[in-house]
Amino acid sequence: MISLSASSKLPVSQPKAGRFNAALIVIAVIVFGFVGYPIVAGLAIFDFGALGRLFSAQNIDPLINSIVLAALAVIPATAIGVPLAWMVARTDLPGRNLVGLLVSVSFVVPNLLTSIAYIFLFGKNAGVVNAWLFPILGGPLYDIYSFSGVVFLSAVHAYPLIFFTTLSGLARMNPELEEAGRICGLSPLAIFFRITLGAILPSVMAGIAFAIAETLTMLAGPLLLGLPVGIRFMTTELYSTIVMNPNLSAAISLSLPLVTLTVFMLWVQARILGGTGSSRFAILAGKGARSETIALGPLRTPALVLAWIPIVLSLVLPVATLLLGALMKQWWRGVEWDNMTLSNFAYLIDDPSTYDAIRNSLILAVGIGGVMALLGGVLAIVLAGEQTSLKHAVRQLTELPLGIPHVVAGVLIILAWYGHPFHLGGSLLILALGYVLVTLPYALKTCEAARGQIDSALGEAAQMVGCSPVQSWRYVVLPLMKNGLLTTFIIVFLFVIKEFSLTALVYSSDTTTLPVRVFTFLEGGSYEKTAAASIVLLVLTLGGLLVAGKLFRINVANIKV
Amino acid sequence: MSTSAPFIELAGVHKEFGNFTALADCNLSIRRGEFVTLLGPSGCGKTTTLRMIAGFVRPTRGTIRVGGEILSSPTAHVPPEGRGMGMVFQSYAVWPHMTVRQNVALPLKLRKIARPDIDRRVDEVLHLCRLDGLGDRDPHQLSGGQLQRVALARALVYRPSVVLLDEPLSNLDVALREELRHELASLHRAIGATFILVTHDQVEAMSLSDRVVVMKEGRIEQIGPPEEIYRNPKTDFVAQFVGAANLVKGKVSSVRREPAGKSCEVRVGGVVFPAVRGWDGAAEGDTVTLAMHPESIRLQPIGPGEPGMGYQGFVRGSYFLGRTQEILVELDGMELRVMQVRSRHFEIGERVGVTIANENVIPLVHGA
Repeated sequence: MISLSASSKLPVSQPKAGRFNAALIVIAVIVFGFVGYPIVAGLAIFDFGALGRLFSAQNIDPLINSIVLAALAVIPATAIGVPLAWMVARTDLPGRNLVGLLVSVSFVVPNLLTSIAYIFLFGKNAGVVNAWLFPILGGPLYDIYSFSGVVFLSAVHAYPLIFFTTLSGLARMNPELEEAGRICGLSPLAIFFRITLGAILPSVMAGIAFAIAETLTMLAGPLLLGLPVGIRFMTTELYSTIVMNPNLSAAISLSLPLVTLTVFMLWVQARILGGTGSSRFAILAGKGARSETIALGPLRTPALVLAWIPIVLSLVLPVATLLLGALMKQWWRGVEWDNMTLSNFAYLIDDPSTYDAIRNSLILAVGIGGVMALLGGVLAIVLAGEQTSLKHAVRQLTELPLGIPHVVAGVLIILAWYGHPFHLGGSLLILALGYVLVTLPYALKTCEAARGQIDSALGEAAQMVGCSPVQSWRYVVLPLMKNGLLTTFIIVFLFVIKEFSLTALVYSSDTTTLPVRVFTFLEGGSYEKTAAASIVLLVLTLGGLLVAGKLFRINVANIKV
Repeated sequence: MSTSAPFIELAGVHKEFGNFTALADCNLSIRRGEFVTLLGPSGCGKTTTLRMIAGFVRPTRGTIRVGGEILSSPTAHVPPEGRGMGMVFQSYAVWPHMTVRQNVALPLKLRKIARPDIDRRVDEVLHLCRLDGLGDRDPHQLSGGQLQRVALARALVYRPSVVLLDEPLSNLDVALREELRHELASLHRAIGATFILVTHDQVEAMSLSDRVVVMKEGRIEQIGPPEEIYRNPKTDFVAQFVGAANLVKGKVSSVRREPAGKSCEVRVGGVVFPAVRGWDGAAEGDTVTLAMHPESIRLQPIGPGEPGMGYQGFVRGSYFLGRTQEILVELDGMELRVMQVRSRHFEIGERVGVTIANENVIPLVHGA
């Protein structure tokens, strides 16, 4: 028999509301420093006169090009992404889990590397395919340095986005809707067109809106494939304005249409999805039990071919091309035994600027990954509970960078931190500040998702047995958020390791990162070394993904960087 | 163990969420060691009341005292971790990243109790909650009933003087619920702490409690021992919610004075209830609602041509429920639900004789 005793009570500590508010204010100041200050710095030098010149005859081209590019790229991306998602989610397509995984992996391959691979294959004169067929055709088969080349590369980058959103729409869809159709006598195909498609249309539309925003703001493809032949886009204009002949005021004015379009597309996406804000790394929710898969029957073989074409184009072909290129003495000679070598990798090891680039990339990726996991975790803690106007403001500010394309973020970061009064130009810190700015919304989102999955009763139970708010975080909530914090780390790590759009504007010769080093190799015309450096970048990226999947048991399909 | 002085006291406790009044000026006294149940349908304010006692919700007005100490008032608020109460949550809230032993040991660890003492007390409480040998299991390896016991063990291990139970049995299947109900009762007897249970299940409330607090729409309808609540419901709501009683409206046709109080004759249509007792304010011509429990109504089959006893009704519905049979009877325009144990089967349309003992007719003051 347990007797009553006075030992049940802990010394009563007064509510920690005061301390908690202080934490919120500190966080608010930090977030303002990271996000608010660069935006204010940008707005401060905004020049309305320059805005008018944007729409003059000679400057309107990039704007039109960007819009046409986005509009054209989403057509094949949708045509591929939607049926592919349906096949993976609903049919007995052989190896459909592998297909789904490879789409995720292909999305992690940096666009920079895909573009380079296709330059190797389809560069007008030097591309191996063109060179190989030149004697037969008397000219290039296809020139990747073209508008259609940029469209192709953008579509390759965008189709996984539409695949993901469609897949999540299918997963959230109540299977009984389809079963009801079957009971009514509809064939599987009729069900897809009459029921499924209608039910997931919002998801597809949201994916399209997001893919348009992504395409509008992409730098690598337009920079590598368009600019050399004089096709200008909004992002390459910004790049030129910063890198070729720096003019910050003009850059800020140039940013406005890009920001407006991005924000509009994200707004459309959010409206369609009916939620607030948007989430590029949305974690798929509501995976319902699926009773039956649809048998493809005789359509199996054509479906298999259709499913693998995008994977070959976006993943297998580029990676194989880069790998072979990296192992060759002279890439245009093709696969011959005496042309194979490891010397390109040996060169990278000895090359101090490559070494520095790899070191910088790793320091930044690990460091920013850690910082963002911490910051995201703290934000998720502090912003939880009863919503005050200050919390609301901090949240809005944290989500603001979603609407800022990376190139524009680059401009803002230069404005805010490069010169007076901080003089961070030429330091790694300025890159770090840029990465913090652009990854902040995702860190918050991932951490909040992790926190949201924790039943509030678990925290209350801790309080009930005597945990102070801090102890309840230490013993219960933080351990349960561990996976979410690791996911944040991995997402940010992958993000930073492959980041090019922002870095291309902000880096200095002392602070190159691996993607920048790949780019400078390419500019220098040493293709084999470009390929070798690309492979190193690829190994780090996919390695990060592998570690996430195997070691931390994080669902890789949920990581969309 | 039980003393008559109030141990937990809610005085004028009132809670509003925006425009919604979750609890309206609630007064409630609970004695030390008592087992009190807050009973009512969802949205009646029972959970809000419990969470205010726990300290998760601050009352808009009023004070909550435990052992004379003010825990909640407009000016003071002791947080849940400072109240030293135990609580079992509806979802159990067993921490998934800790073993059973770690779950149960954490409260003691927080209280800076020496390791050997912690081990001993955890073993003790695991034994008490019939969890022997499960200490090293992870929560996901446990069944619903076992999780429930872990939640209980964790709430009891630091010997709180007040244990709060928020619908602890509602997530369990029927057989397990009954088993745990009995365990809960014996645990209460064994440790002698004050238990406050929230439930919408009247069987739980009846079987476990010293007193039941019936709540509806943020108000207390009636407080009393289970039998009193059942036998003498004060309102339509209590009669129906607790006893699933038949309610019929009638008029007092005559009043007689008896040594024990007034006895009324009440007419409902053509049916006369000759001696309704327990309503001392009665006057001729008053409207009154009568409550009759389904099991207190008797039905007798009437053979063809027989005159039959009592009033004659017709069977409108007949349902076999296993242990009992539920029969819907139409009697002069009234529809009555009748429960009979091991009765003969009644056919729909059959003529039956309906009788009800005078003492089983409960008057409810109309308008309540």
